Amino acid sequence: MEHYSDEKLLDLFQNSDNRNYAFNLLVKKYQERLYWHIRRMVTDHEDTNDLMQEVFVKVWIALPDFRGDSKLFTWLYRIATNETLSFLKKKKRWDFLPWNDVENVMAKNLENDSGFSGTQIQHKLQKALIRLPEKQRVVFHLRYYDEMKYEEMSKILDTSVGALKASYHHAVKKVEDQLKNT
Amino acid sequence: MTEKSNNTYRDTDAKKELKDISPYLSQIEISNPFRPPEGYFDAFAQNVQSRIEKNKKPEKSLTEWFTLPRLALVTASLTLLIAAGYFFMAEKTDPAVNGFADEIFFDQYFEWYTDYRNHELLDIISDEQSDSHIGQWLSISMIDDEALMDYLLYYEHYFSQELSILFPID
Repeated sequence: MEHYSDEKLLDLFQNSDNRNYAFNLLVKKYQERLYWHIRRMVTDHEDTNDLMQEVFVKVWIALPDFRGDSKLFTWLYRIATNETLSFLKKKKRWDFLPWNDVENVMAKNLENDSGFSGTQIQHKLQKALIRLPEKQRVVFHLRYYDEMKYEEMSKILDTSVGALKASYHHAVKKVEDQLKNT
Repeated sequence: MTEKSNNTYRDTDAKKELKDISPYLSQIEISNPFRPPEGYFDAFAQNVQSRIEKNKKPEKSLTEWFTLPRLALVTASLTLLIAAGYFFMAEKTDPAVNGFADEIFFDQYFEWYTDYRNHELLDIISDEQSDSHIGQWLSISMIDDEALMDYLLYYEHYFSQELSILFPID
């Protein structure tokens, strides 16, 4: 499938005759990247699917007012990240569970998830990641899996490059410790 | 105009950085252990469009918003506020209770109340009005405490105006 540039997609979207078509292309262009970004955070497919739909409905509503102050890519990641962090916060509150127990539930779900097909070390890695604080986990995922530049991450997470580097460094060390001691 | 890749967002030094921080972790193959259901991405765009169509409903007018339970809630809240204000003023006229202890009590009360409003009401408003523009704005934007207080003060003013129309005082 042909991928249009973000500028072209936004131009198409501004024309009301092409709005649905342009939005469809935008979804197709970014769906996989956002899916993996969310899925790695929440681990469960059904939760990821709900969040993906929420994210793109919000994008549909807010896109007419998108002025291009940030890149479309950054803006989409920011919405997806905020939705995901907010979901995890609510999940913790609704389940009336302390965070340690939420981690255990997520780790348990991972074991029974038919959509998880990793090796033993991948399994251990995911369990170690679940134990990281949510924001540190986002930083780890964006850098480790997506190899994203800190400058881009800084725009998505509204955090300084220095703080992100430190956060990634701490996250890597914690994961390493977890892997070595389990 | 097409775009073949998004390599501009990728940092080619990421692997080297990982090796520097943790040679142990850098030896583990980076792979994606999760799988989506078969055909998920083929159908997703269509599912989103359907969801958007389903969400397209007329916005509620002000008279629709003022349902009986909501009106009762607003009236009860205002009555409580007026009663609290009355007792507060009555207490203030008594020199025996108009002391330092009361100041501490009210300072603590307002501190708690402000904290409660900042943290809990944001969620309530977001949930209550998740379909409205303000609900969307609240969940998308990185709202801070000051902006939330402005919002609440605006609504306090707005409600008092609406109630004075519904229940004019002669």
